[in-house]
Amino acid sequence: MGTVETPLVATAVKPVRRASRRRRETLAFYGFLSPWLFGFIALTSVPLVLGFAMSLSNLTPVNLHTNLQYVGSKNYVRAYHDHEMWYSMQRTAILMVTIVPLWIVTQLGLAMLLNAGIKFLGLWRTLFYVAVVVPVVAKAFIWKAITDQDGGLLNRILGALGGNSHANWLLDHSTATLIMLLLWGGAGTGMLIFLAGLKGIPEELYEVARVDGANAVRRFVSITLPLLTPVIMFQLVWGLVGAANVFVEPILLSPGLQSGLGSTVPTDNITFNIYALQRIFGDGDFGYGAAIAWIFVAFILVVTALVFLSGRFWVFQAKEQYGK
Amino acid sequence: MRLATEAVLYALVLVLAAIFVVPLVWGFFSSLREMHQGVSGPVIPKPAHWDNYRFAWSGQFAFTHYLWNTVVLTFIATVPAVLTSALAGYAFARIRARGRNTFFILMLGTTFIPFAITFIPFFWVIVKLNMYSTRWPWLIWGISGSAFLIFLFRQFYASFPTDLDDAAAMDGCGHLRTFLQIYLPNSGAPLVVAFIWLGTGWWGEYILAQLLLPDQLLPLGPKIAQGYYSAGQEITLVPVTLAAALLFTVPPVLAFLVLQKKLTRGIVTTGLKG
Repeated sequence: MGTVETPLVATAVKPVRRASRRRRETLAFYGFLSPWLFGFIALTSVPLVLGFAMSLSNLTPVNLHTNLQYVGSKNYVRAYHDHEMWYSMQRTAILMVTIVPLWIVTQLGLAMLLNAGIKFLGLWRTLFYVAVVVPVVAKAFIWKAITDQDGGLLNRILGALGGNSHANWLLDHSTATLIMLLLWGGAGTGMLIFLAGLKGIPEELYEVARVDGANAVRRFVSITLPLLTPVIMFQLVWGLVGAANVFVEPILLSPGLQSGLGSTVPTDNITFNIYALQRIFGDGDFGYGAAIAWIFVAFILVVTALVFLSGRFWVFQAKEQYGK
Repeated sequence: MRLATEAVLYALVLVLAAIFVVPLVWGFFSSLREMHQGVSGPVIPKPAHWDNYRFAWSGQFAFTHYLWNTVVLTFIATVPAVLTSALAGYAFARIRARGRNTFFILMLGTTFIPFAITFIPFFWVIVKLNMYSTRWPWLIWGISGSAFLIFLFRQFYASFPTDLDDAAAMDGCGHLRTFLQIYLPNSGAPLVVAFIWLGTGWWGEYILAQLLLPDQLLPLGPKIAQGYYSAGQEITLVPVTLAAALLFTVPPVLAFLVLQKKLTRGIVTTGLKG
């Protein structure tokens, strides 16, 4: 009798215990997540919904209680016909397709150089990385001093080489100046991530390839590059999102005195973000600014989704086998 | 042949390192020029005008006042964020619950949302909550953590050996005690990465402070961005502004130099490489 009773009791108790354990786990999970969840709701979800509602209205800083109206798709139609908006989107796209490849090539190149067994590795790594921790305001002033029309380092070098020693970089080559700053200040972190990726490739693979007579180029193309494709994908997506969101640097690089929200930014450096913010804080046109921002969200989503989808054609899948 | 390759290698590293360091050196040289002179004159200014640094420190505004503001904002936005991000990272890596994957994807998704779309309504809410011109938003950002750091901690904790938590579970430890007594004390590497990244980011933050804070509470970023001017306000004192910008750069660079070994090791061990 006793031998029959024991399992009966056990089966009666077990599910209850499991259910309460699961409930405890769920409670712990959401408890641990609650600070982030609070931020997710307060800083992201609510503003997103509010922002979408704003984009369908004629909201300005002053008309909330007077003549706030639902205007349907009017702001979006207006954006469609707004040449300046399309121009800012074009400038953002140009920035994305220039800086991201430059970043990846520089980061990978530096990482490979550091991984080639050189001495004083820590010193070189520090020198390549240090620009990353320089505050953006200092970065901008340093690049203003480099690109200064009268006596800036760049014009001095150009002059010494027989070129134009009086180029107005901040105004006439504003995007080139911006790209130089972004490349200098944004390469370090990716370099470290690529370096970690390179260290994860087993040395035996290279040895086998060497025995098979593969030269350096062949080893790079057949081993290094394929095994790094997951890292490249990671850097590509982060780079694209980062480049799309470039915002503070053009404002700080604008020629002349710092005034307001980038009212002196050269047209070529007015990115999508700056254009939206100018409509909002410059013109007080909340509704229109929010509509532009939503178009921007759609743009970024489409670009990153396409990049992710393209991954199935070029990202090496068996990374678990070789990773770390 | 081997020697030649090596020579090329070192030459290349040297040239590239120079390219990366020259902007800082140029900024430093230019900060020592005569203050009304802009950046013209010999490459290495003679005599060096070290008094530019004194002017940057107290000539136009009390540097220490804004330095303190920077310290406070960086602290309240960074310290809670690193802790809550570690907590969330642990939850995503170690606690099984319904909705975990959904929230993980949502969390990563937030990093794709551009600044402009959330800032405008956020700004409006901040004004409605009477938090405009206060430091409260920084604490809110701090408490809510950072998606990038949560991802960092999750990657790190997911590769953490589980035998430790089995032992802890035997001893009747709940998740909170397991996290506080086992995971957090062993998180040196990602903690360093998190503090450096988030801390230097907030230290140099410009736009949010510029949009939300009155002069009295401004951190050094937007304060220095206003520039230094000659007595009649007619010209920018470029060398002095550069001196201030470099003084502002010293703390994050020092923090990086002290922690840089741990930072690189942290990036390797957290498996951030995708």
